[in-house]
Amino acid sequence: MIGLVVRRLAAMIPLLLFVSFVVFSLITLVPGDPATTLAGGTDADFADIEAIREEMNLNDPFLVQYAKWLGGAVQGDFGESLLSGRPVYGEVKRAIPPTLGLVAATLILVIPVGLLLGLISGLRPGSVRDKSVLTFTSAGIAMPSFWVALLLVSFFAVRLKWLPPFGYEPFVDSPTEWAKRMIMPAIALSASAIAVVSRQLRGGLADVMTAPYIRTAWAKGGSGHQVIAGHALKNAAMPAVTVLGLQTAVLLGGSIIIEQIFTIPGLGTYLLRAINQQDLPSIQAVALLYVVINVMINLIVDIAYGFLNPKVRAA
Amino acid sequence: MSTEQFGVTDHIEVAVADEVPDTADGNGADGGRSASTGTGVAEHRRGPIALATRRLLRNPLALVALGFLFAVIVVGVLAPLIAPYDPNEQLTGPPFLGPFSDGHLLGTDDLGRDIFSRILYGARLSILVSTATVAIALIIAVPIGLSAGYHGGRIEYGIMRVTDAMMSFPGLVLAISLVAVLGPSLKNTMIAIAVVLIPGFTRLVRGQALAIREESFIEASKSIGSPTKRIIFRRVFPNLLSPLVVQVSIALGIVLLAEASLSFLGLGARPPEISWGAMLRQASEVILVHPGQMYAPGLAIALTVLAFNTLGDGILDALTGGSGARGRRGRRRGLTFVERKMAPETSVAAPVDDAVSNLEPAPIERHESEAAPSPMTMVTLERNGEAARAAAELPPTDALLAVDGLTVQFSTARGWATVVDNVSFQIRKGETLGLVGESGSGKTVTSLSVMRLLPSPPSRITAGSVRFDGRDLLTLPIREMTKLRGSRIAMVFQDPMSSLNPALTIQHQIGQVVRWHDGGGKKHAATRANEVLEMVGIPKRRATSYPHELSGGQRQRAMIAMALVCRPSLLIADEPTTALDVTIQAQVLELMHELRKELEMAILFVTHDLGVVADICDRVAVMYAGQIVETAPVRELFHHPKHPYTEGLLRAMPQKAEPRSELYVIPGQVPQFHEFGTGCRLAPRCEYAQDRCRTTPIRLERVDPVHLARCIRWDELDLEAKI
Amino acid sequence: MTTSTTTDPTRTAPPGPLLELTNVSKLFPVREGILRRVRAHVHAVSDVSLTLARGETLGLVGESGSGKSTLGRLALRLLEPTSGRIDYLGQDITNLKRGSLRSVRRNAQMVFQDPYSSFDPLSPLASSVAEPLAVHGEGGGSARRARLEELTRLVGLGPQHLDRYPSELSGGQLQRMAVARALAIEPSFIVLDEPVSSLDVSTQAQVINLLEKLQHELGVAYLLIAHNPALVRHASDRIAVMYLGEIVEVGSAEAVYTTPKHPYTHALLSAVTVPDPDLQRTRRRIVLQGDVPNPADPPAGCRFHTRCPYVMDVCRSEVPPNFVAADGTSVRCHLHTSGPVLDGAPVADLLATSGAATSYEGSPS
Repeated sequence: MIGLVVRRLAAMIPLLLFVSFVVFSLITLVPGDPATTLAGGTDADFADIEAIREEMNLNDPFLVQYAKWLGGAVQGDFGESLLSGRPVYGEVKRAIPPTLGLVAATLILVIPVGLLLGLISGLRPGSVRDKSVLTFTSAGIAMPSFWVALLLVSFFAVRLKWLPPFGYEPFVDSPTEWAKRMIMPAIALSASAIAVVSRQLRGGLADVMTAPYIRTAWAKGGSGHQVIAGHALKNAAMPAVTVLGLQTAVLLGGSIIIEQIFTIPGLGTYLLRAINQQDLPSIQAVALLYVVINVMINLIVDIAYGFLNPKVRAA
Repeated sequence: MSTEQFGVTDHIEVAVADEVPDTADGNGADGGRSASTGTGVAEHRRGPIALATRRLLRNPLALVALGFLFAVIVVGVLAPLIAPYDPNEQLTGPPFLGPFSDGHLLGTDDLGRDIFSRILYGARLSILVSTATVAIALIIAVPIGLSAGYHGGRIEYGIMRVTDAMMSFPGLVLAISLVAVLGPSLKNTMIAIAVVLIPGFTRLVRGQALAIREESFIEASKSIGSPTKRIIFRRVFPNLLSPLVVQVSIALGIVLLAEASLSFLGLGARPPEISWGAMLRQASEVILVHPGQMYAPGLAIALTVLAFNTLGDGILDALTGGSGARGRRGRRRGLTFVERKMAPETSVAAPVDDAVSNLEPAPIERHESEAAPSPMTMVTLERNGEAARAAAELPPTDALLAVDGLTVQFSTARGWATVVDNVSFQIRKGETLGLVGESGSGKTVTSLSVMRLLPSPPSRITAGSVRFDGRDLLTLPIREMTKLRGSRIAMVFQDPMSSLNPALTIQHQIGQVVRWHDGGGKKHAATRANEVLEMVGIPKRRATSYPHELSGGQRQRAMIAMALVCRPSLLIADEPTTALDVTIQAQVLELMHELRKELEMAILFVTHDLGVVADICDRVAVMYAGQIVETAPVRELFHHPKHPYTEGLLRAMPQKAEPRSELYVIPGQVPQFHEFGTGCRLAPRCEYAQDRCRTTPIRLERVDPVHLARCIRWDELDLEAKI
Repeated sequence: MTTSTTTDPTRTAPPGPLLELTNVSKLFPVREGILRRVRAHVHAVSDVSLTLARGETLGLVGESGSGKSTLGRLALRLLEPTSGRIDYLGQDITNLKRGSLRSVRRNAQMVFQDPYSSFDPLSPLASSVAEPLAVHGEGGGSARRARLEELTRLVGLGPQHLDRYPSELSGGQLQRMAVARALAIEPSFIVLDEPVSSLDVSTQAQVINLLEKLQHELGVAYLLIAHNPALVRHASDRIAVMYLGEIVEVGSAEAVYTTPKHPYTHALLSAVTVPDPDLQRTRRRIVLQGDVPNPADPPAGCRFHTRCPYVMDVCRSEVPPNFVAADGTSVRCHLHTSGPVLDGAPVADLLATSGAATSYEGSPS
């Protein structure tokens, strides 16, 4: 098991190197001369343009620029915000906890609810309750998360006035206020992930229940409970766990919009503001952070998968 | 032997000998290779694609989705003609009109524009963006994926590592960053989403190409000398298309959602372009005052994405022949369904006194099952009574297992098919009975029916009884059945790799049997598991291995250990050596010889291999087309066969023939269950068949007290001369 | 593209064997890790020398993992040999590149184990069977169709089968179609890779008879790969026995089958069951202990020494030499030159004195 973790960690180094290169290369996509564009276009002050050129090492060869940027990034130095002039990292740092909190709250919903719904429908395929779950999950996948968010706001906040429509309260200040403000964003963000996870578990169960080794378990004299708990669940959960890993990427992307709707001061809100202000160093920093968070969550998922699948553990 | 011996004339109209009856899961029963049989030449030219299309068109959900998408396209194209207002015309009415207002079906927005007209124009943009984006992604991903999958050289390996890395980007983050740098616009949105889609498509295409490359038909093309280009375009690409179509349908929905997301953030479509996502953005700004604004565009997005997904699922079902949720309705878990009423078709097909017990008297009094006695059931009772009287003159023996008149049906596209027809046999304590037959004979179905391990649906037991130690297993509730399974009756399956749980150690899997039946802690179970593993020759240090860490021979030994751990009095072995090499088969047979002696257990040995039967069985029952055609002690059967089919099987063995001589051939092939005539089921392939063989049902006749044969000419034919 | 009459070398028939493999080896690298470094090699085929004469059937027996399928593919040059030399009609084809290989391909064809995966499921059979004709530019339009119908008749099927899809035919019928495809361009030899192992007994006999009939009529040579020694014995002129990538014994079918000279051949043949209870229960069966070793790490010396009932010290350290017995059988075993010195006598001669092999008497019932 430790071997698996070490191998996964080792594999992350080239991955992050590559991803950071892609993130840094975004600058080459900036139309025209990056320095001019970033300084505000053709009517920008010449001195400003030169300052940006200097600040972003734009006079160096590309690979040198990248090396300097990466050297700073591993120490938490992403340069200075083109707008505020303050170090990017200091500002980004403050945006991390709200985003992580939102993702955590969402996963806390997704994992139990997704697995439960998957079990409910997968254990009795074709039954009424299976069909109800399938209908619900079909809708969950098709509805855009931001529309779900708007529907929740209009119903629970505008009509029923049970919950505050927007806003954010740090968890450390008041866990209950945090929770109150996280309920709707987390539900909106979790709907499609719940649907995907539960469908995967349902499909996994349906496949596993026809597997020869399940027949063996029946032949051994297992009761329904023993066969399902002792044999089917573990194997059926494997694809569901894989899908959960893939869904974290979707969740992180969706969180950008959800943060925007609920005015949560997280990475997404920060990213959108940076985009509006053409603040490239900030965009790069945030994009890289998202990848790091995603890779970290996937590492945890991989480890969980290793517990389920002995072949992965050994290989 | 002439070409007629190859049975040309016999099976021009006969298509596939369906494997169904011999596979336990019965999934093939209503699909796959049997699909086109017997429907006549006119309907024969149906390729897999045509079949899938037909299945798709029979799926109502997919049809609704298809219809909806078609409507969206039509509406999008014809928007200028249908829309009541110009979508950008302001103050067509008062702003913020609710839905169903006069002249404004869906109301008006903040600028008094007609929402209905805007939704129609939004459809146009959504479809355009989705299809164009997916097309761009495919144009780039398919060639890369194909080449990576088919050639798989170093460059392709590098490309795949890059796509893997790209997939660690949260898709929307990458798309937003790209649009941010390129500048917000619809065009850049499409480029960005395509970039996000490409790694996934590439991986999919590569995976499919890799799988197809492993198929023999690709190697066949290579060995023919076909140029690589031809192989890729004529063979690989078409075969990869169908899974791709499923993903494309789902990707169209994903693109629609992504475009809506970006437009919602103000990075995608901008006025005067009309996108459902952008409409939601406007609606969100006034949500506290006019929440009704967001219903229409949100619903439009959700329904269209739902339609794409439903269509994708429908195509997948159509391609795999699965029927999704509908096919598995009411599946009973772990116990074959028993419905003991005489089905009319069985009574026609089955000879009247087929239930003649072949060795021992059938029990005279029958505990009828809970099934309400119908007139047909009474008929069954009557017949069995007769059979019992006929057999009563024989000396009674101590049958451990007595199967009497067992009839099993499978649900197929053509209705219920009788796959096992009125099968009777007994096994004494400590005796080994071989159940022999080719694929499709019903031998495996019979063996699985004893423990009621056939899944229901598609199977059901419609008649007969299975008495074990005097109790009819067909009347037992699952609670009682599980007590017997694994402890008194155990089973060994053909393929030990798939029959063992890959995620658990063999010690754990064997220990489970102990814990489920004898109780006791995990420690006790592990000790027992190690003991029995040692008995089958697996050293203690291998006990904590997972199945994939063992060799094929060791896996089958572990399987046997698992069956024997509770010392059953009956072992059902379903082709236990078929998947093994001959030297490993010798090991396993040797082991079974030893264990059978040591544990004094009876074995029902299911196999197609007469050599194995000669090695290990005391008595043999030969099955053909769902019926037992001959039963005899092993020497009697091999030296004095009384049924032409047994003779044919023996003569076809290469061991028996003179080297390089022509092997004996039973012409034609095993009939499918809907092709059984009223007479002898072998008659179309039998060189001794006469007219009377084809017209009347043939009963199992008693050659001598221990030898039964289902042939009306058994005493006039001299079959042993030719073997 | 050339036509068959001008380039088919079998028609001009130079002397010597049709196909000759000399010291052919094939190693498959085992790659691991992110850098895909080669960690080990699987010794699929090691130092194999074999000849195949015109119109003969050479049977190749061995258990799964013995490398017999790899050897079949090497003979067709579907795989590149790691070392060694392959001659086809006296011409070295070891290093031929694609273009020149085409002419070899039209003389060497293959029939595969799984009839269902041997045909493109999306194409009607006519298209698959016609592929060799199309690729090698033979016939066209109605001439090609006529040739296809002739081929299907040759293998005992009818023209209507050509318009069906693979899923509409049975395994036996498809395997005959595979034979038809292999014969389409009149090759001089065909590699048959377990052609009947997925078929039922009665269908097996149909396909084997067909193959023999065609050999008589067309003079085609077969390399018949199978794991069932009884079948190989029946259908072959000569037999080669493979174990862990090596040929341990090769000789006439009669000699190898009745007087096996390698302990592995002897054990393998004794494990084949006989469909006669009296015979089966009274003959000696040698049960080999353990499993085939990992081909990525084959044992030193004689590769069979880990399971051999007659193992001697020399077997563990030295590779056995190739010994040619009086009846022409080549065998690689130290027993013929050291220890008891069999000097070409069958292994069975040792049994009387050895306790290593187990035998049993079946209980009469």
